Amino acid sequence: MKKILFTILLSLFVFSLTLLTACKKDEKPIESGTIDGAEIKGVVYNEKNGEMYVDTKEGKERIKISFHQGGYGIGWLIAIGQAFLLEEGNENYYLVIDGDSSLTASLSSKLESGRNLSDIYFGLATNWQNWAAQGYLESLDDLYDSVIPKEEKKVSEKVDETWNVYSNTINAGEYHHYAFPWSDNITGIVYNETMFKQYGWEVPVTVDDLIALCEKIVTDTNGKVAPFVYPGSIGGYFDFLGTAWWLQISGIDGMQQYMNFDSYEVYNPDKALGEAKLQALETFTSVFGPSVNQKYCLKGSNSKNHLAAQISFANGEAAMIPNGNWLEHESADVLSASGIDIKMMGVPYAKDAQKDKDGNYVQVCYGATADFGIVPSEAKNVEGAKKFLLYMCKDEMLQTFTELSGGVRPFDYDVSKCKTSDFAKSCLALWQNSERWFDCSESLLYTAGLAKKFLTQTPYMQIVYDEMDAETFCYQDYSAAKRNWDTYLEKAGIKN
Amino acid sequence: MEIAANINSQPKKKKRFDWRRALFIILMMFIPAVHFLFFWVYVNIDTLRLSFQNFDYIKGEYVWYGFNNYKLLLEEFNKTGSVLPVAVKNSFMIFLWNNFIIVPISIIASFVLFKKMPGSNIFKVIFFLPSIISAVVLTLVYQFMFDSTFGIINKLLEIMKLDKIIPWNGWFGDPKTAFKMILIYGLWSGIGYNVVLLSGAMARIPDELFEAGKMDGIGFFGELWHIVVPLIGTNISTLLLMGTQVIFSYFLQPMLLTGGNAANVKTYTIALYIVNNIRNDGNYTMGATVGVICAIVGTPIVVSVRKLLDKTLPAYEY
Repeated sequence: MKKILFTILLSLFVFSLTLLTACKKDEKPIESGTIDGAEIKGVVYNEKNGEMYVDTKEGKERIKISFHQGGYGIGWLIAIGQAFLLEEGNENYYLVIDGDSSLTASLSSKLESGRNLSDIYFGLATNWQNWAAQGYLESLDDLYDSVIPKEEKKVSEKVDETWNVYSNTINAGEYHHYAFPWSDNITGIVYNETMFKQYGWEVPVTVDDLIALCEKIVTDTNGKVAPFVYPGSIGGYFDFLGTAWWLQISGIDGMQQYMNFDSYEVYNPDKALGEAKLQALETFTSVFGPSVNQKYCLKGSNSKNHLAAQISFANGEAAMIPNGNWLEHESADVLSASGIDIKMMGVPYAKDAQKDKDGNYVQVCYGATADFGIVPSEAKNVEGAKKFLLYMCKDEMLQTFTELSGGVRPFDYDVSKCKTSDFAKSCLALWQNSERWFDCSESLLYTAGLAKKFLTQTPYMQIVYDEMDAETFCYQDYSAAKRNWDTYLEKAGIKN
Repeated sequence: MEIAANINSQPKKKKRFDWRRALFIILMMFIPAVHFLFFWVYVNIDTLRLSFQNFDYIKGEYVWYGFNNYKLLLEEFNKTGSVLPVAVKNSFMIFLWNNFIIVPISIIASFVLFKKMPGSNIFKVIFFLPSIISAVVLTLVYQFMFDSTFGIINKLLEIMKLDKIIPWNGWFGDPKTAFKMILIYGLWSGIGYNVVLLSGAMARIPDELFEAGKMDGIGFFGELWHIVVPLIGTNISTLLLMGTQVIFSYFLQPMLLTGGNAANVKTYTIALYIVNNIRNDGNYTMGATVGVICAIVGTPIVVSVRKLLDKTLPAYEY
C-alpha cells in the first residue's frame, strides 16, 4: 500500500513540476517574436521580469509601469513601450512592464506604504480622488499643458473634455489634475451574430423592438435559447444598460447636473433629474423585471459570475449578454472554441429617450467607470513617467492601443484606420457615433464616497428579485438623501 | 573536610559577561519586539485614534470627529434594508458551523484515517488537496461545478431526475441556498487542513494506551472519546480558537462566491461589510470604528472560549 501511495505521490509531484516548468516564463530575454500581438523588434524584452531596453539597461533611467492586466492583455503596452524606447531622445530610459490582475485591489495599500512604487499605475474604477486628497499623487497639470511630440495639440486639447473636468480634484484646498486617461469603456449589448443571421433576427432599435425580439427568440428556438444571460453575482453589468437608458432620457447635461449633487433634491423622483432615473429603472424592469425574467433570461443567471455568463453566451445558451468591448479579449479562448461571430449593439432607445432637432434619437455610449493612470508623488522617476504618458497620446500610439487591445482611449483620433476584428469595429462604430459619458462628478460629496448615483444600494438585482420596484427604490433613495444630507456635508468638510 | 575547606577558601572566579550571547539574545528579541510595537501597539492606537476622526477633503487632513463615527455606525445598523444585521447573524453562524460541525467531522475523519481503514492514505491526500489550491481558483471550480447550465452537479441531478431541486436562480443566486452553499464550501475546503493536523497528533499517541483500552473492552467510539480526544485536546483547542476568530475575519468565500450579489442573497458577513462598504470607498475612519467595536465585542468571546477550552481540554504529557 505504502509503495502504491508513494508512486502516486511521486507521479503527482513530477506532473506538478512539469506543469510549473511549462508555465514558468522564459528567463532569457528575447529580441524577436510576438507577444500578445506585439512584435518585438529593435529592443530586448524579458518576459519574466518585464524589463525592456535597447542594447543594455546599464547606466539608464528606469520607468516602471504597472497596469491592471485583464481584458486588454499586455501587447499594447509592449508595443508602445518599444516605440518609446526607439524614439530619438529616449535613449537614456529602460522600462519595466508589470502586469498584475489584482492591481486595482492592492493599489491603495501600495500608495499608502510608499515602498517599491512604480512610476506609473494604470488601474480600473477606484476612488483615486481619495488618494489625491491625501497627497499620494503627483500633479499632472504640466502634462495636460504639454504639446504632444511631433503634433500640434496640447494634451488638454486632444483629450475628451469630460477628462479635463474629471481629472481635476482637490488636495489641501487646491485643485489640480491628478489622473490621466487610460482606456474608455464601450458598453452595451453583445449579441451572437451567427445566431442572429441563422434565424433572421434584426438588431433592435427601441426597447419595444428589444422586447419583441426576446419574444421571437423564445418562439423561434422553442425556449432552448434564452434571449439574455447575465452575470448576476457581479451585479454591475446591469448598470451598462440601466445608466445608458438614464443617459438617453436625461441627456448628458441632465446626468451631469444630477451628478453635481447640489442638493438632495436631485434624488427627488418628482423632479426632472430624479424622474429620469425612475424612468430608466422602469425601462430596466420591462426587460429584466420579475414578470419577464424567467422568460427572457437564462436559468441560473443570478448565480453566474462574468466568466460563467460568458461561457454560456459562447456556448449559444443565450443570444445576448450585457457586456463591454473587452469581452473579445477576456473570453478569447471560449469564443474561438465555439466559433461564433459576435457584435456589439447600442442599448436600444427607451420610450422617453431624447431626440435631436431632426427628430432622431440621440445615441449615447456609457463608459461605466473610468480606467485611469496615475503617477505617485513618491515615484522615483516622475519626469520619465510624464514623458511616457505624453508619448502615449501620439496618434500612432493611440491607434496601436486600439489595434492590440480592442479598446479605445478618450482622445480625438481616427479609429477607422485601425486594423481590428469585426467585433471591435462594431464597438468602435458605437463609440465614434455616440455622445459619451462615464461616471464622474466634481462634487466633494462624490469624492468622499458619500453622494452616489444610487444612494442606498444598487437597484437592479433588487428589482430582479422582486424585493423592490423602481418607484419604491427611487423614493427610498430620496428619503435617505434628505435625512442624511447635513451629515454628508459635515463629513466632507463642506459645512461645520 | 580539609579539601572542602580549601575549595571554599579559593577566591570565587568572576563570571565573564558573555557579549556574544547577549548580542544574540538582543538580535533575536529585536525583530519580535519591533513587530509587536509596530503591528500591535501602533496599529491599535492608530485605529482607536482614527475612529474618533474624519478626513476633511478641503483641508486635506484628518480632523477630530468625536463619537460621530460610532453614531453613524449605529444608524447604519438600524436603517431599513441594512445588511449589517444579516452580516452579524451570518458571522456567528459560520463560527458555529466551524466549531460544531467542521471540527467534529474532522476529528472523526482523522480517526478513521488513523485507524488505517482501507485507502486511508489516499483519502488523506484527497482531503488535503483543496487546502493547497488558491481560494480564488477553488471557488471558481466550486461555482462551475454547481453552474445551472454546464455544471457537473446539476447534470448529475438531472440524470437522477432530481432537477426539480435546482433553484431557478442557481445555487449561489437564490437567497434560500446561497449561504448554505458557502457553508458547504467551508466544509469541503477546510476539512483537509484539520485532518492533516489532527491525524499527525493522533500518530503521536503511544500504542500502549490503545492496547490497554482494548483490554478494558472499549470499542471504536470508546477509543475516540476516552483516549484520542483528551490526548489531542490541545490541537482541538487550537482549531476551535481559530474557528472563533472567523466571526470577524470571514469575507473571502462569500465575496468570491456571491460577489456583488451578497446583499440580495443574504451572504454578507461582518468582514465582507468592512471590505465592500468601507475599504472600497476609502472610508478608513469608519473601518477603524467597526474594528474597535469588533475588538470590544470579540475580546470577551475569545477569552471566554479560551478559558472554557483550557478547562475542558487540558494538555496531557505523554
